Amino acid sequence: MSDPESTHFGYQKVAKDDKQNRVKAVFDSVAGRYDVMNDLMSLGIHRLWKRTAIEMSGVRKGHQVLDLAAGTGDLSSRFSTLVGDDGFVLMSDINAAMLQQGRERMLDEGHSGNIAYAQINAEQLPFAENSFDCISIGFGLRNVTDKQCALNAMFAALRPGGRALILEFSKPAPGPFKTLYDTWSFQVLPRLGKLVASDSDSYQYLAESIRMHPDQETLKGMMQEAGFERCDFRNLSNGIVAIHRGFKI
Amino acid sequence: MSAMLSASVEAVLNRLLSLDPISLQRLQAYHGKRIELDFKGTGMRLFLVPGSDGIAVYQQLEEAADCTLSATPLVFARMGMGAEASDQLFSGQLEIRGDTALGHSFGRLLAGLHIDWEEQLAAISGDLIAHNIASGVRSGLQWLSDTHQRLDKDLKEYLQEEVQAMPSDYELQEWLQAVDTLRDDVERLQARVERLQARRSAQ
Repeated sequence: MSDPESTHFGYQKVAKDDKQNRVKAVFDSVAGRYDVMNDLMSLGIHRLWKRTAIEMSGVRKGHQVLDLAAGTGDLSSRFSTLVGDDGFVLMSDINAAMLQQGRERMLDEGHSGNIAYAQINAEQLPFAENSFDCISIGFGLRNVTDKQCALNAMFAALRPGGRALILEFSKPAPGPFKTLYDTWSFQVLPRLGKLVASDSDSYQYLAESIRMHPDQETLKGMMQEAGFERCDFRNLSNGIVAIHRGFKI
Repeated sequence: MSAMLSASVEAVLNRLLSLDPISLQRLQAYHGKRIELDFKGTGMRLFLVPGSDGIAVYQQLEEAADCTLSATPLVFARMGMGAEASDQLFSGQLEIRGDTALGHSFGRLLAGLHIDWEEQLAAISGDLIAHNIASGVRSGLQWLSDTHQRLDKDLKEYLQEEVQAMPSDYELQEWLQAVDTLRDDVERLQARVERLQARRSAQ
């Protein structure tokens, strides 16, 4: 029986109240070089995963989109183009340093008018019920302390007919590919982190947090528990990443 | 794999657009529109969504496109090399569905990309070398074009005049006119015969 007051921080067990601060410290540390490291970590494939997520989002002109854990805004940037002048994208992150990076990037790319920024905790969404047509969270859910609470909040904030989209590292199918992936995550990645961002601990945490994240079927079950219907997931790159999708009917 | 294809097309399109700032500026007029390219015979579709920083390319969108351009990959390639979309349209090789005005103007924008290669080269090699290389390439292209035209003309003359294997334009026109006249005469004769037969059967 696990202690209800503790949670995982990578492979360590920490007090629930402490996790948020530790995650904050990790992302404060990597914010400046987040994009470069993402490219190095995934060999650039994260761009293809995000592109597939966008295609599965079903976002249309005029939609209201909430992008949680938006980071440097890879998804928000594309949503902003898709919703057009009549739509709206709220780019959010719990981490101020990451949000600042994302905001600067959006302005540099010329996205304005249909996009706003907010520092938000995904577990406590400050919105009325039925506010958004699509809520996405890309590579963010595993850093959330209480994932079920975040899924419940996402469900409440969605409009009927809207969908939630969760892009997250998952459990790859067993085999030689998995061994290669483990070697890459635990041997190469922390060293790369040290080399590029002078911070191996943060990247060690990123690799560990991926292993502690619920697998495809468990996360699908959690979405169903939150109230989502027609839940499905799509494995990408042999299951290294999965995109979960659920609708509020 | 499909995501890689659309990502590659997007990267190439945006790289080309970044080399032509005027077209990039014109692209703003299409912000948020969905233009679908349907590559006939391949089953492949691409959706182009122009935005503030270039064109986003997707393989599938749930929303219907504002306009669909449907043609074989070869016809698209020809348009990309500067052929007028309207030429392809009227020759029946290109089909436009939805907002046809949007399809026309967007096709013209892509086909009319004007990239100053000399300027791009100058950024790497300096003005002097870039100008010399560009002049060399320009005269090379001119020579190729002249040679192509001359070869075309010489071959035509050889086949028509020397070995007389093919008719000249004048002879061809004359023959086509004669065929037309003969066809009309036959049709007139046929009508006359039919009229005579009708009168005979009425008596």
